[in-house]
Amino acid sequence: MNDLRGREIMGWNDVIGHDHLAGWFRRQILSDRLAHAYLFEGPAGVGKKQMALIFAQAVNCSRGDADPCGECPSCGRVGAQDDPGLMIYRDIDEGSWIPRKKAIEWAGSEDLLLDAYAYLVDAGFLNPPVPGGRGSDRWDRVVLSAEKIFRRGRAPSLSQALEDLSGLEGDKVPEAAGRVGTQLFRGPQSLVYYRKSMGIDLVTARSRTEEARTIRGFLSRKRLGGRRKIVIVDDAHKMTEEAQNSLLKTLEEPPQDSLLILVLDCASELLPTIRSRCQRVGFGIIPADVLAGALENRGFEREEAQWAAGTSSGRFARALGSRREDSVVAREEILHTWREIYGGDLAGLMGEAGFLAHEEIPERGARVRRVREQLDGLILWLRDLLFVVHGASRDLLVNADLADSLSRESRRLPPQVLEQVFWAVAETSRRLDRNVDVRLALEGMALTLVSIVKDREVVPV
Amino acid sequence: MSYIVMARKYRPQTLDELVGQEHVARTLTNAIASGRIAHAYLFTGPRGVGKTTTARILAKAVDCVEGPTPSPCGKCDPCIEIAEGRSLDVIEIDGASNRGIDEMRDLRERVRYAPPGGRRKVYIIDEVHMLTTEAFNALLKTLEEPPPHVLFIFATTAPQKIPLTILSRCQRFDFRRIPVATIVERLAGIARSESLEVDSGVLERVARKADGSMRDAESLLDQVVAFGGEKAAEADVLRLLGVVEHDSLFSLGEHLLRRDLTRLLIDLDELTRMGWDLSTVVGGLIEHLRNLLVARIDRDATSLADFTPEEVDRYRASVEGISEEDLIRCLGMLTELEPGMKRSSQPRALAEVALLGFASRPAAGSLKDLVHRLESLEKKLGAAGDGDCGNSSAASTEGREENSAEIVTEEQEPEVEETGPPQRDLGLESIQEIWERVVTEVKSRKMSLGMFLAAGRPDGLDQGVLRVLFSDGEQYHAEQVMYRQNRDLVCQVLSKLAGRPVGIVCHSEEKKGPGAPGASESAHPGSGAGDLASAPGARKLMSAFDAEVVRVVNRPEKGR
Repeated sequence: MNDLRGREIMGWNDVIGHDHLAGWFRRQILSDRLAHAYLFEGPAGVGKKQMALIFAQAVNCSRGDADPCGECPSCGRVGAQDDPGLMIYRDIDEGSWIPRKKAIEWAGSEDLLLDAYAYLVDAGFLNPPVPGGRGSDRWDRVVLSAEKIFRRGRAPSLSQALEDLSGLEGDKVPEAAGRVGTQLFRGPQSLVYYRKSMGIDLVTARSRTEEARTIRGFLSRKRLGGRRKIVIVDDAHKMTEEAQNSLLKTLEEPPQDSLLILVLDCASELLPTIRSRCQRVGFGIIPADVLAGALENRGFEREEAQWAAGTSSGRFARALGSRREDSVVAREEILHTWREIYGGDLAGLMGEAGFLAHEEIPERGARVRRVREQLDGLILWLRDLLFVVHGASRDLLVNADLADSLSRESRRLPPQVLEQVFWAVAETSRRLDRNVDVRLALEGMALTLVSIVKDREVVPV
Repeated sequence: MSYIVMARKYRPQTLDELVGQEHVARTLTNAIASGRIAHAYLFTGPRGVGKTTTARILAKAVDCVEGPTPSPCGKCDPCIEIAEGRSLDVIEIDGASNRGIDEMRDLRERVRYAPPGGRRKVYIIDEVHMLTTEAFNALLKTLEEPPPHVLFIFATTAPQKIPLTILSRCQRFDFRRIPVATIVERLAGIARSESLEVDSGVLERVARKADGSMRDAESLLDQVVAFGGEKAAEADVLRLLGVVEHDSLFSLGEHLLRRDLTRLLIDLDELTRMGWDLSTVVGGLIEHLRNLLVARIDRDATSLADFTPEEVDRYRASVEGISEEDLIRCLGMLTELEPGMKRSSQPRALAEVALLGFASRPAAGSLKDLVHRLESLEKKLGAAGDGDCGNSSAASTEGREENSAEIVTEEQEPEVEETGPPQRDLGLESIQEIWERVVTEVKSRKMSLGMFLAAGRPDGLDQGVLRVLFSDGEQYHAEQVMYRQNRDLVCQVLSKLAGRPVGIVCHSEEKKGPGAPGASESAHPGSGAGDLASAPGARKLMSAFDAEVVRVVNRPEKGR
């Protein structure tokens, strides 16, 4: 789930693939049957957060319609996440999407922006930004360095980082870096960052200054001219058990005009007592054809859009993040790895493991993400092979354009072995989630794969 | 005034309105009527069954102008104040947010003062399980002998987190999950007073999804009702509730269990096209299979009481001809799959391949069937005596059961060796012929051993014991091959390919010849341990006791 800061939000239609939910929200607003607590659950990157923001806009839009007008000050402020009636609690490590256009404005020019990014990364303010998107819809995924905000023994604060940044003067680059960094760190007033977990200080605090930024403190404020006080807890599964328990009473009977939206990937990670107090809104994945269409509208070429839609498992954010050159290179790599797998080429696979481990990426989270992306490609390739073996029709394949090569390659190994290979790769990808050494895990996978394949004869094609 | 959700709007105000907790309501009513109100109550039970509600009713019951009365009037000042949560006598504390010892000390101080308004001061501590141990302990004395004007009511979903010393000072009431029928009735009542038109089928779905919790049910009804004037199609409602349609589950389940791969793939594709997250589908499928299993096992379907007779029939029809074992295996596969999907980056591919893998393997026959078949086989064998007939029938049965009983095949192996291919005279030449295959086979089972073995070559055959010769520099290889587990493996492979038991001894080149000290202590053809180890009788003994031949001792003559 990403911070969609600065993206222009137009209306319900902007959320792709959840028309029935949008319709339902509209009806709730129109019939004045809004509940006070919602739980948005569903796979990551399908648009839950975006939906929550549009919902917030619509609820508080000055026109009082079921659709946010997108023009009134309220819509603007909520869209920018800079509104006194809105609080968004989120994990800092999840990063933000910064539109390239906007960032260039801050820096002065594109070259200067890239230099500024590099400068900020060097100075320890940012993790390396990851670019994505197409054409006019390009953006950078930026993760602020938590160390600059969460200093030991002190409450999280952006002011010190801002002070450091304003000190950057002199050369063109540091100056630009100062401007970009200030923009990134200043952040809209509705955002409250957390790191790793959201404790009881999410809900309530002892000191008065702290209390204002807690959920209870925020909701107990006076009414805001007929508008609702909206709380969005992003990645709500990061709430500790204490935090969840202390939220119960508020969730059940919040102050008047409150609206709480908990957003998370998997509701079963919350206490049943929390779940029971919310209206649960299940987000499904985005159907592949809808997703591919949306990607084409954003400047993807048809074939590429279909591939991105297939590999992203129906998640818009992931599909948008896939890059053109990736789609071609990645498949070459997958084929190459596949050859090494069925050939039982231990040396090759070990080399591959070293290459795949991406040790050049320093931050573990980003590194694991990259490794998993590549394993995903392999997983889907193996899945397609199995589908072909079992006579699936062509339109069920992710790599449908490679159908011929798939049907040839599917005969390399017996189906049962193919299945074992699939699970070995899938298990490795899953294991990366835990605290394992990436390279060791990949080398372990190489060994397993070879022992699986060596056990059987490879069928010459 | 903004909209109040049903769960709040229709919160019961008297004990009579409380549904599904008759045992609690009756006890409390009697206690109040007979003036035997305790000073501390503990209400436990799952979420949304009426704990906090009952606590508030009880507070009203004791503080009502007409009270203590089992049916508070709801009209007097105290009743209204309590209902609106502004009574000075009823103090509702959020135990999760005020969980420390300081808060409890504070409470202990205040307890002493008489109630400003009415008859009794009621402390309701909700989510009491979140209090710290110190806080609980600070309460103990007060809880044991509180001032006469005080009533404590604790409510929690997790009684196991409450110290025994607290438990023993309270009257405990366990609230139950509410049966589906009761929920449906209540929902229908709400729908009537809201003048809403809701299909009874939808109500039932909602009630079942609520899993025994009234608040869950009311929240869900709220959601469903928001579909508004135009009557919501059931499919839409289900999708909103995150419930996969029964028809889809039936179809998916049948194609899975009946091994219809093509249709299974189409089913999965349709579901994903509709936007279903496959982990939700797998969750639904698990529940569905559980129902199927119950329908299959329970002939009276008493545990299926939640279902209509038509549904029970449908479940039965769906499992017709499918064995319990297969259902259980399928359930096992799905429950193993589900948690893995949650954290996978490709949950869909995972689910697809797991289901595909299951459906591409033949069904497990029922255990009864298997036993039956074994028995008839036994009879046949007994009737035919030993000889060709037995062999051929064994072979054909094995072919048939190969898939259904993977475990059995492994244990069959030793027997196969003995009854296997016809015994022919075994010469060194025939061993040399198959040597390469032996090495390959050994390699496939244990690569290192294969490499060692490849260094040797068959050199002689003496009474069923093969002599393998290693060149002088490869003594280490010979030793490795003679290492117990390795030797067994080689013997096994050799015997299988040769079609009769063959033992093995290793020699290194220089010291070749009978009687010469070999590469290993068992290198005495004819009388050595290797020889003994390969004798069928000894092998049986060894496998039965997991023994190995250490030394061969000739039994001394009697009367020494």
